Amino acid sequence: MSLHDNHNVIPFGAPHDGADDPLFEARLLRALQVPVPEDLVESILLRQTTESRHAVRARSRSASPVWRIAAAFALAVGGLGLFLSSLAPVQALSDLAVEHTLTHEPGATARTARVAPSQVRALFARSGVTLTAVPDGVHYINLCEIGRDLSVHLVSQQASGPVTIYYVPDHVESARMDFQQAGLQGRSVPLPGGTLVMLAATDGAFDQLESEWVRVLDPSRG
Amino acid sequence: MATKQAQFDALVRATSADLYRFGHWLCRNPALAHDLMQETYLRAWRSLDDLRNTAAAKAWLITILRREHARLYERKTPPIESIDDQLAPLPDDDGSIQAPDDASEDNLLRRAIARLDRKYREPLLMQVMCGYSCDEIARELGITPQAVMTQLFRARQKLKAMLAGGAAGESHEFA
Repeated sequence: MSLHDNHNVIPFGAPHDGADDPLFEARLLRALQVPVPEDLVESILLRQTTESRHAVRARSRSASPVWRIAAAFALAVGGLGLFLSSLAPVQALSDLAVEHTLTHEPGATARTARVAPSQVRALFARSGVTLTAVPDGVHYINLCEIGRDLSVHLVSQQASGPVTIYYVPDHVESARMDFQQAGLQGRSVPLPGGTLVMLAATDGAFDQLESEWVRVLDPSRG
Repeated sequence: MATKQAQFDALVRATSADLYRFGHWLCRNPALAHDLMQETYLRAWRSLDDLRNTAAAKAWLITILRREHARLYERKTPPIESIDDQLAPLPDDDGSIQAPDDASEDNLLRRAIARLDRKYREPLLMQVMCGYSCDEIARELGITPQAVMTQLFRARQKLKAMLAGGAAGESHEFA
């Protein structure tokens, strides 16, 4: 009687798991290595970031009654309260962008290899943004959390030095502004679908970069 | 300090290929395996704070994947007859893909693996693809290490029997 005839018999002395044939084990391992879809990683990350963005929006929409009452109270206390509440988000975003640049990704500005335009498009797509074109000079790109917002973080190498750029979708600042903080020059540019923030040692490239990125993020400004 | 998003990105890039292959052989259906991956990593994202030991991330993901598979499997069971059409040929070393060769040993073995009953196939995948020990497989499957040994032994014997018997033409699951 052969083993093939009776699968319930384990021969005496044989390794219990039967992995005693190196050639068969190699064949087995090779046969199991089926091709992986090329877009697997990007599709997983796209699905996750899409859900994260929806979750943030849902949280914003379903603000608790306590917060609604607090907001109503803030409106009621008059001009000073309104003034402070309108200033707070602007300062918060610039603070968070500077903090992230200095602490979380300090090596990003030193990158020298260019990022492929397809990668730039893919990262923006994960944040729900379709770029009409990709400005040149991107040497680093990632998705980062700026506060509670998932943002595109990139570095553009310019003649004046590296410029760190954040695009924060769904977070629209009240006004365009320039600022200085922690030895960095900064600019915050509100757009219809989010806010563009630039940070650098000098602001020499800000006008050009603002023009390039606003054109691809907000085609209506052409 | 890495952000949660950066941690998740790194986790997906490091583990998704192996996890997809595991899911592929669990589902025996590429489309379902793709869906399974989406659901698995979405669950992982929601519970990422629970992952204390990053060295154990793959085992943690395998557990999530198996649970998701059990959930999906109840809704949608791919017909075993369709597996032959879904087993794409592997690329050669130079990246080119040759026309399907039904007689090739690898394809015969793939068909044989696909026809193994799940109780044999799953521990075999864990051992060969994930490098699990018998004890680890036993813990994951909730059976004894001795039972795992037996199932691994029988899995290999059944595969060899199918190959020796030219089982490529059979259409039934090999239980």
